[in-house]
Amino acid sequence: MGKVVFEHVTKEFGSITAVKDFCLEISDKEFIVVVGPSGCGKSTVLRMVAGLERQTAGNIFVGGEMVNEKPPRERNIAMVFQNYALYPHMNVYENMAFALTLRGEPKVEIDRKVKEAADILDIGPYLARKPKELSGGQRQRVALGRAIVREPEVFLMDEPLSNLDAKLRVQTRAEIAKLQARLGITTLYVTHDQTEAMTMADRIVVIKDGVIQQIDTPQTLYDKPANRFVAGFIGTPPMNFFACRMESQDGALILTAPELKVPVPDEWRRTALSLAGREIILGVRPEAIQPSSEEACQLRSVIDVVEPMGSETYLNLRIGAQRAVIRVASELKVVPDQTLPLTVDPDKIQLFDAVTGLVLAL
Amino acid sequence: MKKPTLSTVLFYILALFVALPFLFPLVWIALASFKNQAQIVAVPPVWIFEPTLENYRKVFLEQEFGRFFLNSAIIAVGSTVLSLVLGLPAAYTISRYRQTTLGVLILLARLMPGISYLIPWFILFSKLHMVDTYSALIASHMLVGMPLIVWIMVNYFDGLPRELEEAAQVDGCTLQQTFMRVVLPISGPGIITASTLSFLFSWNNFMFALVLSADNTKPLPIAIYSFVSYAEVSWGAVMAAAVVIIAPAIVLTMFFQRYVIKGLTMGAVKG
Repeated sequence: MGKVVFEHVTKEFGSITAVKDFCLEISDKEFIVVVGPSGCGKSTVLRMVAGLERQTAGNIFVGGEMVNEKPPRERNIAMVFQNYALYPHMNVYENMAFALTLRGEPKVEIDRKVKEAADILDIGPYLARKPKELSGGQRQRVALGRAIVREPEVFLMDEPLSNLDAKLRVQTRAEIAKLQARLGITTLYVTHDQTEAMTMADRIVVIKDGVIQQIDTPQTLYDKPANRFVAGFIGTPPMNFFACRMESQDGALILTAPELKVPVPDEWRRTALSLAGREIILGVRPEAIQPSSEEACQLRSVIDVVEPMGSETYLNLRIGAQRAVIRVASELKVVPDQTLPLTVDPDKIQLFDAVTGLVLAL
Repeated sequence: MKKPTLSTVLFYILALFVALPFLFPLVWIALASFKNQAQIVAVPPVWIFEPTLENYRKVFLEQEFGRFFLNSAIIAVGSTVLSLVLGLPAAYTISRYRQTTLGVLILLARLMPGISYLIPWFILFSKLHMVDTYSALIASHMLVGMPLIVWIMVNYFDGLPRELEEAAQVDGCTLQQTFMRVVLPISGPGIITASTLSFLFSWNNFMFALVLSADNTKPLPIAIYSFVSYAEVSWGAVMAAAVVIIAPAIVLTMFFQRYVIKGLTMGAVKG
């Protein structure tokens, strides 16, 4: 059973708190991605599970057993490092067999396991090579292979794709997800790349400054972010935020700002009424703002930059003094400095408290 | 062939100018070892002469230089190996567990002028009846060799990526296994540098042996001394002996120079 549980785990380095009151239950076979900006403490979380870092407070359980006092070698976990950390003096075979040799498994058994893992990862032809004779992608596979042969309870992966070039990264991303599903081994994966998180995870843990912001499935994080940070962190291009004021005009509630007038959908009425006259942050995803006719115009924008992506086009806009990026069909012919009337999909707006940044519930 | 440019010519002239003061004595020693006494002391110096092997005959046949050579080798190898056995783990802990105090203490032992140990040591080793034993000489040479090894290796270990050791720990290694099976095998260049230097310091050391050795353990630098008597200084033999001492040092340095130079500058520029 590869369950991993964090109970109020805190890690301090001197006066700096790297991870604060971290609580998380990872079920068996689950693929969890911890995502956050650099220095948010996500690697520390991983290293505490591995036993490379000792938490200051709280408990960690792996497979139902408390591992607080256990050294890394007794935790039955395998880790894939960002720079692969292959033993340079051993060839691929020896790298993969190392852990099994230490465990004293019979030679025949080791040979079978290494060959099997090599088959899965397509590194059979390189078994006799030294790591320095391999390309980045191949090294990455060996690092994965070294983890797989151990048949551990938990995989820990610390930004394993960040040293690969963009194309290989996308390819390997899919392969890791497939591999994890096939082996059914609980995986805790750390990255700063929200695309990796979105594409691979069963659930994503978003952390910032060592504090969990939200734990949820990728789609829920995207559709219902808990706060402005998560909303801005998940999704590319990120969600647009507009500082507005909630005003009531002729019985209708309207969000207003210079060049912006967005009616509040009916289902928001009850919440919105209590907010009348207050500063509100309106959050809209880039695809939920679309060009409109002059009559239906809710946001009057001026185009700054046009970024054609091929299948679609990103427009960098100015709306009054505020900026936004929207995603439009590539057929739309526009030029910089052109004025563009826009409308917002009322079902896809998010409202955030201007002070706390927390999402406002319906 | 490419025509040498003015700057390359200038470079070599300058290089020669710098190297001359270092190389001249070596060349002179080597030449003198093939001359007879009269040719050596002749003024102006004789550059063209009929070489003789008489001096080498004297060194090896009259003086048992083979045995002194062996003594020197035993002491240098012994002190280097023991310094490695103690120094490598020490350097590793200093590097990984920030044992700065231990590091400074070891460095202090090196910084003290060796001569200040001589008298206490002579008394100590006499009381222990250890004067003129290999153990006493090896121990004394470790005083020079070990701090050298420790400090070169601390720098070297500092430069190794931590992830390798962490990977080893996760793979199931104890601290000792991590050190033996992962750290040591990738520390070859550092170990070669450190041991070459330690070996040379011991090989060239005169002072400790002067006090602590006698007939049984006399190493080469002391043996040279026996060609200096009240009646005369047998310059030819001294020069031949000097060649015998210098040769292994030069061969060793040439062979490992890439590592040695890197080792001497290690820490200055982290590459």
